[in-house]
Amino acid sequence: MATEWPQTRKSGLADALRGAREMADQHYGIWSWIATVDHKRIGIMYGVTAFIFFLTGGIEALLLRTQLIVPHAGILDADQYNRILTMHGTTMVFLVIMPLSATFFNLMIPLMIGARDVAFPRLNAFSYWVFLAGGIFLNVSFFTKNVFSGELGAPDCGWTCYSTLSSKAFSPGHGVDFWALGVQILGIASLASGFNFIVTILNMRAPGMTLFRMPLFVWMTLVTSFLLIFAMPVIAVALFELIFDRLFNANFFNPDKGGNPLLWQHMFWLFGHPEVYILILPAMGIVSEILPTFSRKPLFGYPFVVFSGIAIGFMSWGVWVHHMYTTGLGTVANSAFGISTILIGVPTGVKVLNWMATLWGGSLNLKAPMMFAVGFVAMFTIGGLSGVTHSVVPSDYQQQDTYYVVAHFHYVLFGGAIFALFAGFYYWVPKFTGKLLDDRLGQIHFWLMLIGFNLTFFPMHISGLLGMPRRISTYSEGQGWDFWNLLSTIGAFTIATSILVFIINFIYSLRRGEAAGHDPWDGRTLEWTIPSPPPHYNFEKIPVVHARDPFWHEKYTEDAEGRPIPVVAGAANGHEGEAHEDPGGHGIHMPSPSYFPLIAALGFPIMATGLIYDYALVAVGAAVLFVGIYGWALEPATEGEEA
Amino acid sequence: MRMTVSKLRLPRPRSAQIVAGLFLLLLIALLATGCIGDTDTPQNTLAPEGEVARHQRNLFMLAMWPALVVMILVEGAIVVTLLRFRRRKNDAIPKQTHGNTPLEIGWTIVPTIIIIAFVGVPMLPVLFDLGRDPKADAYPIEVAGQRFQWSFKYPDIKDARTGEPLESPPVVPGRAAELHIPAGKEIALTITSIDVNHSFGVPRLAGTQDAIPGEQHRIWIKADHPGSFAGQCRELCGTGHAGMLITVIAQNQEDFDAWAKEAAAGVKTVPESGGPEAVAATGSGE
Repeated sequence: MATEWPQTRKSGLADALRGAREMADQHYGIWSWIATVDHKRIGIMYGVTAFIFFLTGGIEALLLRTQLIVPHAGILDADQYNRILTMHGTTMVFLVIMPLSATFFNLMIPLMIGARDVAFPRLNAFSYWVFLAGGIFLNVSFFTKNVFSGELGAPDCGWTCYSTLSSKAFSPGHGVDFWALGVQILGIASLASGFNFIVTILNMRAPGMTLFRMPLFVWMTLVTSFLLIFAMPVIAVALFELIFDRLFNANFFNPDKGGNPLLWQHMFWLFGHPEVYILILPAMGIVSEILPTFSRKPLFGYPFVVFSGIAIGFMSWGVWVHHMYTTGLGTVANSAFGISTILIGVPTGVKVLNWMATLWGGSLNLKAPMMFAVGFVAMFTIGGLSGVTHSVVPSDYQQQDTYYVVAHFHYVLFGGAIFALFAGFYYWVPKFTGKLLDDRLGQIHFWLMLIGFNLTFFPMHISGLLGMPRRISTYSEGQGWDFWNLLSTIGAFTIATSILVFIINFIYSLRRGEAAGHDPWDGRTLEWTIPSPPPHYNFEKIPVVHARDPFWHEKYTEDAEGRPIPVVAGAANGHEGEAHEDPGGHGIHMPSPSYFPLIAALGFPIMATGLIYDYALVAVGAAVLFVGIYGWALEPATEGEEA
Repeated sequence: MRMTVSKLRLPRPRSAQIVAGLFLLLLIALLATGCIGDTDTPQNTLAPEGEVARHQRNLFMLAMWPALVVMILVEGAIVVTLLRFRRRKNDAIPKQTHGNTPLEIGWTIVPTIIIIAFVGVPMLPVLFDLGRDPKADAYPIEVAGQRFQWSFKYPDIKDARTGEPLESPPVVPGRAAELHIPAGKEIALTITSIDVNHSFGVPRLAGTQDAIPGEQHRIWIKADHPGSFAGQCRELCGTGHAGMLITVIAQNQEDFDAWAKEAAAGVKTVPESGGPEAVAATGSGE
C-alpha cells in the first residue's frame, strides 16, 4: 500500500498531486466527505445512500401493492407494473440489502478487530463511489422515456431478467441495457469491497485476536466477502453476454441462432444462490452479536455457528438448480439438487437452535435492538421452513412462480435481512452518532413492522397455494385471491408507517437523543471500549486481545462458582470510571484523503452511457477512469512527518 | 423545558401480552392455511383433480405438516424464552454457558437424518414417476406459448380443410385458450415456446412446466373426471402476462371424439363453451 514516491522524479505532475492531496487534507464540510477514506465516514455514506434507495424500493413496493389491492385496480398499466416490479427487486437486492450490509462492514469491522482503518482505505472509497454511480445509473433508466406522460424507461424483465425476454426483440428500448450495465457496475463495487474486507480481516486484527476469537459478525463478513469475490464474476460473465447480445447482436441466448436461453438461467442462479447468502450471512452475523450482548451470555456454541456459516458458504454453490426445477432439466438433476437443497437447511437450522440456546437462561434486556434480533430469528425461521417445503421437487412444481415463493423469499430477505439490519442500526449507530435512539419509538417501530410484515407476507403463502402466479399485473375475481391481496396491501402500508416512525425516531435522537457513552449496552466486543463517536483514528492504543468477547472479560471476572462478577464496582455501567483521556491522537498516522477514487468511479457510468448512446463517450469514460487510477497510483501515500 | 418522548407518556405495551397475542394471530393464520384445501377456487394447488396434482399435493403435505409443527415449536419456544428470561430488577449476571458439544452434534445430525428420511426419501420415487416419459399410448398434444396466448396442436386429429393436424383457434387477448383432453386418460404434452419463456400451469391437474424457446419438454397429465380446469402463464413474459389464460376442458371419450369430429370439420372454430371471464388486462397486448 505504501507508495514509494520517487524523489528524483519530482515533476509538475507530482507537485499537482501533492497540491491536490494537501487541499483534500485541509477541506472540511462536504469536501472532507467527498475526499474521505475514513471507513466510518464511508460507512455512514453507504448507510444514508442505501436508506434512500430503501425508500425508493419501498415506494415501488407500495405502488405494486396498490395495483394489486383489488382485481383490476387500474392504478398501473401492465407495462408500468413490469418496470416498477423489476426496479423494486433490483433495488432491494443490489441497492439496499447489499450496501446496508456493506454499511456495517465499513462501520464495524475495523472497530471490532481493533484496527484503525481497513486495509485499502482508498479502494474502500472507490467501492462506495462505484456503488453510488451504479445505483444512480440504474435509476436514471426511468427517465429514458417520457416519465411525465406515464411512460417509464426502466427495465421490464424482472430482477432475474430471463432470456429471451431480455433480448432486444422482446425488450426494446434501453431499460434492459441500463439494467445489465448498472448491475455490472455494482458488481465492481462488490468485488473491490470483497477483496478489501478479506485482506482487512485476515491481516489487520489486533494482537491476540486469533481467528477463533473474532466476533461472529467478523466471521460472517469474511465468508460473505469470499462469496462476493467468487459470485460476482459469474454474474459479470452472464451480464457481458447479455450486453453483447443486445448491443452487438451476439447470439449467446438466441435460440434461433444456436444460442441457449437456459444458459442465462444457469449463470444467473449460479450467482444468484450464493447471492442469497451474501444477503443473509451478514444479517446472521449482526444477530449473533446482539443476542449475546442483550442476554449477558456468550454465544452458545461459537464454533458451531462459525462452521455452519462456512458450510452455508460452500453449500450455497450446490443448490442453484432449485430455482430451475420446472425448466425441464430432468429427474436426475432435479433429485440431486432437491437433496442438496434439503441439506442446506441443516446448517441454517443449527444456527437457529444455537441462537435460541443463547437466549435460554440469559438475562434478556428487551430493548429495540434485541427485539429486532429476536424478530429476525422468529421470521427467518418461517422463511427457512417454507424453503424446506420448496426443496420437495414435485410439489415445488405447484409453487414455482406463485406467491408462495414471493412469501418465502420475503420472509428470508425482509423478515430476515431487513429485521437484522434494523437491529444492527439500533445497536451500533449510537456508536457513531453518540446518541441513543429512543427505545419507546423503537418498540413501536418494531411491533408495527412485525405486524405489518406478517400481514403483508403471510397471506401470500395462501394466495400462492391458491395458485396466484407472481409478477401478474392484475387478476380476475373468483380466484379466491381478493381477500389475501387486500390483507397484503394493508400490511405493506403498515410497514411503511413503521418506517416513518423509524425516521422520526432517528431525526429525534440526533437532536435530543440520550448520550450513548462508550458502552450503552454492556457490550462484549472491542468497539465498545472506545468513545462514541470514535475519534478518526479509532484506537488511541491498539488493544491486545486475550479472549473471545475481550471487553466482557475486561469488565467481568468469575468467582469460585463460575459466576461472573464485575471487576471494578461500576465498571460494567458506562465505563465512565476509566474513560479514555483523549490526547487527540498525536503521532497516529492516518491515510490521507483522496479525490482519485471518486474520479476513477465516475469513469464507469460514463462508459456505460457511452455503450448505450454513443461510443465516443466510452473513450471519455475510459480516459476518466485512467486519470483516476493513474493519479491514485502515483499519489503520495501519506503526507506526514516522515515524508 | 425539553419535551422528551418519555414525557409524552406513550402507552407502554406489555411486551408479554403483545407477544402472546401475536402468537395467537399466527395460529389463526395457520388454521386458515389448513382450511384452504377445502375452498373451491379454480387454481387451488391443494385441491387436485388429476393424478399428477394429487401426488404433488400429498408430497407438499408431507413437508408442510412437519414444517408447521417445527414452526409452532420454535416460535413457541421463542415466546416462552422471552417471557421466562426477560431481565428483571436485580437480575444476577447469568451463568456463562459457552455451548454443549454433544447437544449441538445431536441437533445437527438428528434433523439431517429426519429430514432425509421423511422428506428426501419419500420424494424420490414420486419425482421419478412424475418425471417419467409419457406412456406410449398416451394421447399426444403439442402446447406452444406465444406472447400472449397459448396454442394447442392435436397430431391425432386431422383438420378436414387442410389435412394438417388440428390447431386451436387464436383467442382474443385476455381470454382463455381452450385445451380439450379426454378425461381419465394419460395425456402427453409437448411444451415449447415461440418467443420468450412462458410456463404452462394448470394447478388442479399438474404443477407448472416452463415453455422455453428452442426446447421441447414432454410431461404427462391425467384428469380424474370430465370438467374444466383453469390455468395461466406462470413466467413473466411481458405486458400480457396476466392475461395469458388457459382452460383445460376434459370430456369423457365419446364427448371428446364428438368435439374432435366437429372441430376437424371446422364446425366450431370459436368455442362457445366460454372459459373463465377474461382478464380485462390493463395492458393485454403491445
